[in-house]
Amino acid sequence: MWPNFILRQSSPPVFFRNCGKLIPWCAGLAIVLGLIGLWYALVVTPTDAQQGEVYRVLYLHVPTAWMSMLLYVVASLYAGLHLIFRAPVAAVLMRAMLPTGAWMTALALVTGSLWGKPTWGTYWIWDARLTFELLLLFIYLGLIAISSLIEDERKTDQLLAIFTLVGLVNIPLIYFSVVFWNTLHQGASLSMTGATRIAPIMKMTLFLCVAATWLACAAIALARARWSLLARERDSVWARAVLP
Amino acid sequence: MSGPCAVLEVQGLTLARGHRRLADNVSFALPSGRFIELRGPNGSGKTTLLRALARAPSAAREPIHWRVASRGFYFGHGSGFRPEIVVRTQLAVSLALYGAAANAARDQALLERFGLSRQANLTVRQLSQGQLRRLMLAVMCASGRKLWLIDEPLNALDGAAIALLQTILLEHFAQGGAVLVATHRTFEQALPALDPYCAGVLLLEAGRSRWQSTQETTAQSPLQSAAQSTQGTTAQSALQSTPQSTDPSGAPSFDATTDASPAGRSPTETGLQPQPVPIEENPRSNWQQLRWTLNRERVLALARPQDLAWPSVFHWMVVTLFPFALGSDPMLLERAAGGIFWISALLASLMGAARLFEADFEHGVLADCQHAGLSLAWLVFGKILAGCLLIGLPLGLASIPLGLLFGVRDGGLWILGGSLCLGTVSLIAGSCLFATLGLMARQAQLVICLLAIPIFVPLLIFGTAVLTGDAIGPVLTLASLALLALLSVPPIAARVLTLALE
Amino acid sequence: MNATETIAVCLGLTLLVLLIEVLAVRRLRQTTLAQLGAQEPLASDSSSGTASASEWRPHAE
Repeated sequence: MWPNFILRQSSPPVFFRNCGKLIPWCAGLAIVLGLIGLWYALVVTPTDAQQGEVYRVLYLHVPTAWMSMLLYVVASLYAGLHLIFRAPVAAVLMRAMLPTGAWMTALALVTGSLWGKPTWGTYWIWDARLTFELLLLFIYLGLIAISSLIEDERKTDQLLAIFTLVGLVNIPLIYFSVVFWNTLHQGASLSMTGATRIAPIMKMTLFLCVAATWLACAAIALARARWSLLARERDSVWARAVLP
Repeated sequence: MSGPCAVLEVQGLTLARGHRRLADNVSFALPSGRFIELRGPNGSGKTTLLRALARAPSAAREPIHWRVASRGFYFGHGSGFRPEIVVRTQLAVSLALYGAAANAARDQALLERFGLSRQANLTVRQLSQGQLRRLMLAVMCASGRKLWLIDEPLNALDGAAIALLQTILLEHFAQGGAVLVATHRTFEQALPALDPYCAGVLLLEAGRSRWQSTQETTAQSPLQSAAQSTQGTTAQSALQSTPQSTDPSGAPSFDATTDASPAGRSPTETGLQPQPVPIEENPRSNWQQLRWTLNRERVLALARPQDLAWPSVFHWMVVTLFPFALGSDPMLLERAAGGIFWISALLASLMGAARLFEADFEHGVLADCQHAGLSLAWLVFGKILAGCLLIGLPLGLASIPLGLLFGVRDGGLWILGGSLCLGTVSLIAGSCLFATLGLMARQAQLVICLLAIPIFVPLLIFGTAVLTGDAIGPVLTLASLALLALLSVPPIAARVLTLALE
Repeated sequence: MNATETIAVCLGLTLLVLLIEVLAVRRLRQTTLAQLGAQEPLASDSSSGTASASEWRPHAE
C-alpha cells in the first residue's frame, strides 16, 4: 500500500494539487509563529548580561544558519531520489530549494557579520561557523549556476543532482577542516554563540523563530516547485486542465 | 521474427535532441549482408540516430527500442585522432581501442592498402582531409565490428578513395556485416555496384520517419540466402511477428498497449524483448582498458614534450611573482611559502587537467571510446593517473628548488616537495572532475570557479598544515583524501562525461 | 552602529529577502500561467502526455 501511495504522490498532477492545499497553511502558520517569535525575541526575553541588546540578532542568525544547512540536506535528499527514480517531481523540488537556501546562507552571513561589529569590533572574523557559511554560499551559487548552464533540462537535472550530492559529501570535510584550521592558527577562540547563556525562555523563543523560518522557507520552496513543475509539463494533458 | 541474421533491429524509437523531437516511431530491421540508406535534410536527426545506435542500448528498466547483435562502429564527423601523433602510431592506438592486438605488419599492410604508406611517418596534422578520411576508413575496416554506422562517407573522398570504399563495403557484406549509412548524395549514383545490397531507405524529415524497403533481388550474400525463406519479402514483416512473441511481463509499459496494426508501421509500446544473447559489453578486461589509456597518454606526452613542462613553468611563474608583490621580508615569505605553493599548484592543476580532456573531446576521441565499449570510468582513472605522473609529479619536484626562494630550509624543502606530490593527486582528481564539467558548456567556467573553492579548501588547509607544526596528522589526512579522490572521482566524472557526450 | 540599529537592519534584511522570494515566486507563477494560456490547444495525438520511459524522449513532451 505504501509504495503505491508514494508513487501516486510523486505524480505531477497530484503533487500540484497537494501543494496548492499545503502552501497557504504553511505560509499562514509561518506568519503567526513569526509574529509571536518576534514579539518574544524583541520584547519579552531579558537582556543578555555580557552582550547587551545586540545578542537579539541571535534569533535571526541561528534560524537562517540552520535553514541554510537543512535546505541543502533536503535538496540532496531529492537529488538522490532523482538519480534513483528519475522522477521530475524530485528534480523540481531539488531545484526549488537552492535559491531559498542561498538566500538563507547570505542572510546568515550578513546577520553574523553585523552581530560581530558591536561585539568584537570587526565585521568579519574567521571563526568556524561564518567561514563554513561562506563556503556553503559558494556551493549554493555554484549549483545555481549549473542549473542555468544548458538548455536541456533533463541533462541539467542529472548534473545538478550529481553535484549536489558531491557537495553533500564535501560539507563534513569542510566543517572538520575549518575547525582544524581554526585551532591551528589560534584565531578566533571566540565563537558566535559561545558567549551567551541560553535561558529556557530564550530556548523557546529560538524554537519559535526556527519554526517560523522553516515554515516560511517550506512555503516558498513548495510554491516555487509547484509552478516550475507546471512550466515543465506545460505540454501535457493535466496542465491544460489547470487553466482557470 | 528477429532471425539470427538481423544485425540491427529498431522498433518504435523516438529521436530527440534536447527538447526537440526529431523523429517518431523509427522502425526498421537491418539484415546482415545489406545496407540501409538514411536520407533526410540537414538537422533531421541522421547523426543523432547513428550516434545513439553506436552506444549500448539503455538499461533494462525502460522498454528497449532497439537491439543489435554486436556493437557498431561509428564513422562520422569526429576523426577520433589526435593531430600530434604519428600516423602509424595513431593507427595502432585506434585499432587497440577496438580490441585488436598490436601487429606492425598488419598496420603496414593497411596503410599500403589505403594509400597512406608514404604518409606513415607524418603526424596526423599533416594529412589532408581526404587522407584523414582514408585513415578513418582503415580503422573501420580493421575494427572487426559487424555493424558499421557511417555518416556522410562521400565527403572529401576522391575517385580512388570512393572506389576503395566500394571495395571494402562489398567485402564487409560478403562477411555478413551490415551498414547503416547516412548520405546526402544518393549512394547508388556514386557506388553502383552496391545496388543489390540495399535493404531499404529510411527517410527522416519534418519530424516523421518513413521506411521504404526495396524488393530483394537476386544478388544475395551467402549468409542471407539461408534465412531468406523464413524472413519474408520485406523487412516490415519481420517486425510484425515480433510484438506477438513479446512476453507481456517483459518490458514495462506505461501507456495502454495498442495492437500491432497489420501495416506494421505503428509499433506497440511494449518494445522488444530483452536481449537473449548479451552484447559483448567490455571485451577487454579493466586492466587492458587502463593500459590502453595510459599508453595513449604516454604517446601524446612523447609527441609534445613541451606540454609536460608547461604546468611546472606556470607554477614557477606564479611562485616567483609573489615575493615581488609581498616584499622580501624573509619572515613573511617563509610563513607564506606553503600557502603560495599550494595555491599555485591548484591553479596549475586546474588548467592542466582541463587540457587533458578538451582536445580529446574536440576530436571525437571520447565519443569513440564510448562507442568502442571502453568504460569511461577507467578512462578517467587513467587520465587522472597520467595527470598525476605528468603534471603533479613534475610540479612537486620543481617546488623543491623553488622553496629556496622563500627561505625554506633543507628538511623543509623535502617536506614541501613530498607533500605537494601527494597533494597533487587529489588536486588532479578534483580538476579532472571540473574538466569534465567544463566539457558540457563554455559557461561552465563560471561554475568551476565557484565550486572549486569549497571542494579544494579542505585540501589546502591540510596541505599547508604539513609545513607548519606537526606533520603526521595532516599527511595522513592528505593520503586518505587522495585515496578518496581516486576512488570517487572516476565514476562521477564518467557520469558527467556520458551527459556531455549525449 | 548601536544595538537597536543593528537589530533593525538585520530584521529589515530578513523581511526584504522574504519579500524578494515571494515576489520571485509570484513572477514565476504569472509567467507560467501566461505561457499556458498562450499555447494552442492540444493536437489530437493522444500518445503524448505521460511519457513512457524511452531514453530519447524528453519527459516534458
